[in-house]
Amino acid sequence: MREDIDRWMKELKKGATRFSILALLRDDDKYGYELRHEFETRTKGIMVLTEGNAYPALHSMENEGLITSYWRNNEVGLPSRKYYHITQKGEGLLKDMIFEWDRYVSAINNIRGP
Amino acid sequence: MELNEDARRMMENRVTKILKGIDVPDIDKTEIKKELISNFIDASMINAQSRGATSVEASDMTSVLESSEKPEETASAYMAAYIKSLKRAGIISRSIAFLVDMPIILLITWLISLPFIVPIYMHSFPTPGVPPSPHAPPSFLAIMFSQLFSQYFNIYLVSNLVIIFVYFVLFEGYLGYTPGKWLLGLKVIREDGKKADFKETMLRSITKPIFLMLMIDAALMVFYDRKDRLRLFDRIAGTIVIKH
Repeated sequence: MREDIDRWMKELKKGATRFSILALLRDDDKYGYELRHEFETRTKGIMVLTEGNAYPALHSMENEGLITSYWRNNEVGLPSRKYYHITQKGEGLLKDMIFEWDRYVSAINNIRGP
Repeated sequence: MELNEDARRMMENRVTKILKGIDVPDIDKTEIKKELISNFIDASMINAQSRGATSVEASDMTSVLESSEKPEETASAYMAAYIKSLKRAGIISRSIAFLVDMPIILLITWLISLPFIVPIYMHSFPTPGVPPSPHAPPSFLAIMFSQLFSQYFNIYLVSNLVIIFVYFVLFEGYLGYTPGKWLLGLKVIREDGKKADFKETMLRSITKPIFLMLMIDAALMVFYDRKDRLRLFDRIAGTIVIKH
């Protein structure tokens, strides 16, 4: 039972990763761990974005022109951080995703019943 | 905020472990390395902050590493994204590469068969002191041509097929590309993104020597495997051909 639910959640999360990353970048540029941390705190720890979820997705999103990245120096003695910035294309996709997400959630809720 | 030596060593160990499972061009690997180092340091700093400390200790790094995925999982997630980002080579560029390879293979076959043909050729020249033959010596091409219909033909044909096979197996197994593929910017890799081994290049090259078989193999790709762009024997070998 637990395995079934885990597998199902994994599929659900997969679709949510890109959506969440774009949404988190909407207001300002963020670096890799900041995205992961904010994802976890905003979902109150219900969902986590592992390294394997986050970084490869960021790479593909950058390849597709949804986001851009740049390295920025950190405090002395600490390695620089890679910041991500949402592009116009990314913002357009996010807008469409939000629209479809709301439709999807209400549609599924109608099926689910009380 | 400072990073304790032990914590740094643990972090570097983890990053090395992850990178071991990642087989991508060096430029991308360097980027991934920087990204992972920064990730683990940032995560351990948050951990240290939450317990009111001003420096990252080994215990902070331990809890970060324990709560993160297994290194192999992170590596395979990177590899999956990398493979998805690669452009698959289509039937046209692959056919052109094959056509470029053919004359090279013919040249190799010819060079190898030279020691067998030259003696026959030399034999037909008049030797000093021996009265010249009333017949003109046959031309070099004529000898090569007559070879095709001689008893050596079978040996010649079989060795030709073997050379075609070996050519592809060795070039693709060592480098990932034949001269033709290199010219077209194509490379053979395993479907998991790693370098193809001889076992794989042998399997995928089985249809190469016999043109009809290769045609059927490639036709299957065009009609049934258009999306993944795989010949049947690519699928069996677990290889893909990518275009830079």
